[in-house]
Amino acid sequence: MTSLAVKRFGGWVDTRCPRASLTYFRRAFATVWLVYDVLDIYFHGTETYLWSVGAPNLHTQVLSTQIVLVFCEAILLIGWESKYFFLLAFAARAYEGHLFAINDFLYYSVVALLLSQCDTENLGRERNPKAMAWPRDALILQTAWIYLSSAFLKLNPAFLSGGDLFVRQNYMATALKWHYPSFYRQWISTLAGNAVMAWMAVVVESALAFLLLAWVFAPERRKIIRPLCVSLVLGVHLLGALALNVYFFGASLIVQVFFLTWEPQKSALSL
Amino acid sequence: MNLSLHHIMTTETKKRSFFRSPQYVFGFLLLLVVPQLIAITSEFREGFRPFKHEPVRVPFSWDMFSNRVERCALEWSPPLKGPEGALASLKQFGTTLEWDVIYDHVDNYRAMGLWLCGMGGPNNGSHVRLKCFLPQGTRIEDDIACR
Repeated sequence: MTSLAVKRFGGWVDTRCPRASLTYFRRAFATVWLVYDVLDIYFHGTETYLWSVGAPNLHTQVLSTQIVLVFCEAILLIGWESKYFFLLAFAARAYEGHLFAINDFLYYSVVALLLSQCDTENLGRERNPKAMAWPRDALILQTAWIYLSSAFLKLNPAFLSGGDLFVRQNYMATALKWHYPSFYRQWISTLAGNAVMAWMAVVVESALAFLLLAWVFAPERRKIIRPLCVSLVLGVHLLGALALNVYFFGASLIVQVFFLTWEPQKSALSL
Repeated sequence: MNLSLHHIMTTETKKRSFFRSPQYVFGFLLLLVVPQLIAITSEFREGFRPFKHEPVRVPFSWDMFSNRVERCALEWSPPLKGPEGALASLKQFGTTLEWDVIYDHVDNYRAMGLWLCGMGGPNNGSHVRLKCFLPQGTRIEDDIACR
C-alpha cells in the first residue's frame, strides 16, 4: 500500500506538461504585480496603511522592499533566471507580509515560492518545450485550497446574514461615493439582498475549488472543466472589483486559473 | 580543462537530480502544507465555529471577507488645517481605488478622528462626524467635538 503510494508519487514527480501555460502565467503574474507595486510606491498605499495602524516609521524598509519587488517583476516579465528571481520575490513579499499581514501579500509569497520551482523559460527555443508538471499541479491545488478555505470560513453568521457585504458595500457607497447603479444600491441597502449575494459567493467559491480539484484528478474531463473554472473565476473577481474595490488580488487569480488550466494542443509556440 | 568541465557537469547533474527527486518535492510540499493546516486549525482554537461564530484574522488561513467588520465614513467639519491643505475626510489619506484607509471597528475610527483633530490645534471648533455600518444591518451616526 505504502510502496504503491510512493511509486505513484514518484510517477507524478516525473510527469511533464507543456511549458507554454507556465510561461504565460509567469508573464501575466509579473505584469499584474509590477503594476501593483509601481502604483503602491507612487500612491504610498502600503506605507499609509502602516501609518494608519500606528506602526513605527518603516519608510526605508517598505520602500526598499518595494523596489526589490519591482526589479524582480521586471526581470520575471522578461524571463531571465526566473527561478532565482521568484525566490527573491518570495523573500521580499514574505518580508512585506511580515510587516503587514494582508492576504494579498501572503498569497503572492506562496505563489512565487511555487513558481520558483517551475521551468518557464526558453519557450521559443526548443521544439516541444515541456516542464515538470508537479509545480503546476501544486499551484492549481493551492488555488483550490484558497477558494475552499475561504468559502468554509465564510460559513459564519456575520457573512451569511449578509452583514459583511452590507457593511462593505454601504461604506463604499457613502465614504468613497462609489457609483453603484440605482437598482444595485437599493439591493445592497437591505440585509436580505446582501444575504443572497453572500450565499452565492460561498456556492461559487466552493464550486470553483471542486472544479479545480477535478481538473487535477480527472484529466480526461479537462475540456469541460476549464470553461466552467474560467467563467466562475471571472464572475467572482469582476464582481469583487466592481462592487468591493479589490483589483490586483482578483486579477492575479484570474490569470492563474486561466493560464494554468490551459493545455495548448501544439506547444511549440514562439513568443 | 576537460576534467574540470566533467566535474562541473557531474555536479550540475547531481544538483538537478536532487531538486527533481520525490524526496525534495515531498519536503517542499510539506513546507507549504503544514503552515496552512496550522492556520486553519488555529481558526478553530480562536473560536471559529461554522454557522455559529466568525473567524479572526490568521495568516495563511485565507479568511478573505470572513471576519466581522464595521466600517465608517469619517469626516471633519469644518475641515482641519493640515500641513498639505484642508483635511475634510479620512478618504484623503488613501486612494479611492485599492488603497483606501480602513479600520475594522467603530472605536478605531473614533480614536483616529479625535487623534487627527490635534492637527488643527486645540479647540479648533471642528467636529468629527462618523457614519458607520454594522453587520447587524444597522447604521449609526456620531458627532463629536474636537478636544
